[in-house]
Amino acid sequence: MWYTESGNEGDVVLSSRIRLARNIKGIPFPRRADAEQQNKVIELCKAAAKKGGIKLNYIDINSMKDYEKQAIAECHLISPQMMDDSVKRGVFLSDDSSVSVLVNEEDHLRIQCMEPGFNVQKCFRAANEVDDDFEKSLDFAFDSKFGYLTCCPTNIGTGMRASVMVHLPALTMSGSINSIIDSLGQLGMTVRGIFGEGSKATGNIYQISNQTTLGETEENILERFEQIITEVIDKEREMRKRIYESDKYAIQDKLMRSFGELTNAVILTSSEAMSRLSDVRFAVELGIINNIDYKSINTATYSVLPANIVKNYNTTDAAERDLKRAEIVREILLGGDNK
Amino acid sequence: MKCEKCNKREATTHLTKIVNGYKEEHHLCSECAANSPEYKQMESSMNFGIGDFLTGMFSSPKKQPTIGGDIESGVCPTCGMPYSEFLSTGKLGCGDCYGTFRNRLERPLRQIHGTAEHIGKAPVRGGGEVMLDKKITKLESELNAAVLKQDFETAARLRDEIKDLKNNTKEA
Repeated sequence: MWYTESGNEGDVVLSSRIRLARNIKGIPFPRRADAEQQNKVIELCKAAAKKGGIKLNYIDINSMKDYEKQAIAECHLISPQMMDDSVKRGVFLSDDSSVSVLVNEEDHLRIQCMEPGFNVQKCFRAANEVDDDFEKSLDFAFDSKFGYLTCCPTNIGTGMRASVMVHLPALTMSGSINSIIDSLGQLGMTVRGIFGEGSKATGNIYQISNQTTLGETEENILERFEQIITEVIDKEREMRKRIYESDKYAIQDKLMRSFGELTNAVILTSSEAMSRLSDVRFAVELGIINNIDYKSINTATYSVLPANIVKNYNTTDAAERDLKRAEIVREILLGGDNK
Repeated sequence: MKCEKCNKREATTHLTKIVNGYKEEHHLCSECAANSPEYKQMESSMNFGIGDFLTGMFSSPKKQPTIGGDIESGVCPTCGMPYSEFLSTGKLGCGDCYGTFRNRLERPLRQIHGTAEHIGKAPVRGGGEVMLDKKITKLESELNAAVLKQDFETAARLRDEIKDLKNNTKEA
């Protein structure tokens, strides 16, 4: 899966994503559409997806159990907003989950393409293709002045949001993250927690995305986005070096203690797991730990999340889950499949 | 004065509380103040989400006289959403709302995005041609600017790009 693989600049960037917002002409946006209109959008999209060149499987979100919805939201395949059942919603997924098209989220269609590591260009090419596929059968709401029309005026124009998931332990540790968030804000970038709007940066993982969508071509937005993210990557790497050089043994001690905790703990809450896993990731990034790869850490990061444990091990009890979580992490960090 | 809670940072927030006739004074730094129950309570009734800021931007300034009646009135004929609802939610009802409320949306959109003119991708149906014309016009003005600057390398590239685009329109 794209969210467990490691890609370009994998020591800082976990994954990249492009999202395009599209709406069908003449039908009210999901929140104002009645049940019949919501169903019509789903049927139109299903028909359009069938004709398209990319194989997409449709899943009816409303018929899923709550923990199943939460589990795919934890893996970023749907947004948390999709969990609310007041609107008829669905999602199209490609076999490898790297393409996910949300139907009736805030907009009729939210085309999302994801890749491991820093690779927004590849995501953009894929998203563009899916968009062209759907456009062959659907009339999109478009205005020659305002561009693609969206429910929230902050998305109009290209309807495009590029984002990366980045691990910034050094910038967080040094406290520089707050001024970086401020500066990025002035450059038209938004910094959020790992699960998007309103979430905290659990495990020092942040989501950075472009704010403005109107007035520039997609290519220009991407070019600027890549330049800024490259700067962030450089700054994080530089700060890692400085922090490590300033007090080598203290850093080693702190990070290795977290490794010790994760490989010996019997009860592990998800917030503890996330923060300790960030330390272990940092230790791998600094070269303190050499026998664990990013893929194992990514796998651990997503498999410790509550709904994923419920889904994979059928454990609904929170205390039982904390026991299971400790077991999963131990197995991944010490298990035989580490290279 | 140092903050009375952490005793480290400078106190920048000064609170005066009167409880049952007794006056209490607190001197806190901004960090401790943010965590104090008094501030938490003050914050609780306020919302800082993006919708709350949009609402402010899209409602008309109070004192300006408006032409053609109250700016907050008007209903979109396609989805039936009144403009007043947009002002409270920050979300539009359908694509046609942008046409219905065009005059009121343009200025705030400019404030959000820095411009109100889309120059990116357009669907081939219902917009493609218009956008292509727009793109050609834009490239032509860039070409003129390049020629003026005697940047002939850029000018040549732009000239080829325009030629390609024009050929595309003929084929379509």
